[in-house]
Amino acid sequence: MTDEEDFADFVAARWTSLYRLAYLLAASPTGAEDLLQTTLEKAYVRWGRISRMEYPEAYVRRMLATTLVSSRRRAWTREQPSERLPETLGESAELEVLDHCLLWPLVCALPERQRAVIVLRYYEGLSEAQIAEALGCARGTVKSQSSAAVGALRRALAAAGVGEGVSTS
Amino acid sequence: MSLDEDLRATFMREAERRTAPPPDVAGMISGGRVRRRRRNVVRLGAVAAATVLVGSTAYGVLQVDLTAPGTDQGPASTPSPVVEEPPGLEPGRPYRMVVGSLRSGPLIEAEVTVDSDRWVDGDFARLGNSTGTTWVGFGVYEPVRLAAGTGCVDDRRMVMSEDTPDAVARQLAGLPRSEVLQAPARTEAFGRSAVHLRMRIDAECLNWYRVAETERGARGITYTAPGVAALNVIIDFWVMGVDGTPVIVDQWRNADAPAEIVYEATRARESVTIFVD
Repeated sequence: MTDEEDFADFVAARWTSLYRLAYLLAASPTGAEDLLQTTLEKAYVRWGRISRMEYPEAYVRRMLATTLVSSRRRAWTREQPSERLPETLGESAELEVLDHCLLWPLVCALPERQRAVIVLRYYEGLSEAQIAEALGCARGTVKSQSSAAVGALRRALAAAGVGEGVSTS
Repeated sequence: MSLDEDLRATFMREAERRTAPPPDVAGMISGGRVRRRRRNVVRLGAVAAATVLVGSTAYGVLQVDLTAPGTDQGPASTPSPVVEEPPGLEPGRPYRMVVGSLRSGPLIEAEVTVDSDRWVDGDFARLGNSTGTTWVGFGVYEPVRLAAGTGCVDDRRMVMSEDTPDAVARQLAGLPRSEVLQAPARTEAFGRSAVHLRMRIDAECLNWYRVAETERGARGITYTAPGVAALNVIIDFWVMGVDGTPVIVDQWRNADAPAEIVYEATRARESVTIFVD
């Protein structure tokens, strides 16, 4: 079997699963298609090496996240590290009422890197270290991005009247 | 249910709701071959020490190699470090960038030379003043979609780019939160007939203002220093047809950019040559 045939078989077998992850990362169907197409083009270039990996799909899934955040590094606004993070990764407050239909649009509104971090954390189930490796950044960056994302979601939910009395422990 | 659990449930639900469109495997393979060919051009260029590819993911190979997990030197999966500060451009050295492609397939490329050693490479090169508080830049790209709605990248509204330079120029004259300073007018630029216009754009966004989605990525123009609100941006557009494909050259500056860096951007922009591979 040639690399091309092997690649085509891989895409056919993993397409739906990859598309779903791309959709969560890109937060739109069009974005998902673009992201997935670009990522798989890159994967094809390296297919000889990727196909010999123990878990090619895991590698390609991480390429999706890398492609997303790297393709968004255009306008450069220097990040100012927050002196006080609202909470650390892993802490969660109880929410009295949550409309699931409300949470997804709020996630879509997050900056790409923050969204990528929480998708990798809560959908892919990756650890902080694995997320840092996938995105090519420091663990501290993953932690701060996750905190920022969760904090933003909490504030948005609070503004929508959901989860009144949320507090950090 | 905690927010952690709600996020997991939300992601699972949203993912399972999606119906994936059919994959375009042939397109992926074709696109991959184009990328592989550009990588070979980079290596030849480096050996020749004449030209190198500039730009990150959208425009060249350098960032692709830097950001993808693992390396290309073997099966080891040690992740490459992310480039927090993009590399600078070397003054006097020709740089080549992929701009887009003709409908028939050949790549459209541009070559540029900068004079200052303070240019920062990225998807689009930019130059800041000595304190990094204000910026200028230029770009060469094939537009696919143009900004609509608020123009901010979080606002996903966009319009498809038109097919002719005149029509694209009219679209640019209607960019969100913009003011026409010089109306579209025919001119000669970059060795071709072109349409020039100058705009002032209120580029303040939560993230950044996206002028266009291009053949190879997004074109944004919001650059600030920490704690500094984005000012108005003055941007000149030259729209030309390259074998029937609209191509935009732009040169932008923050409204308070000093003359010396505006001059550097002008010289860089004037050095641009566009050709079909």
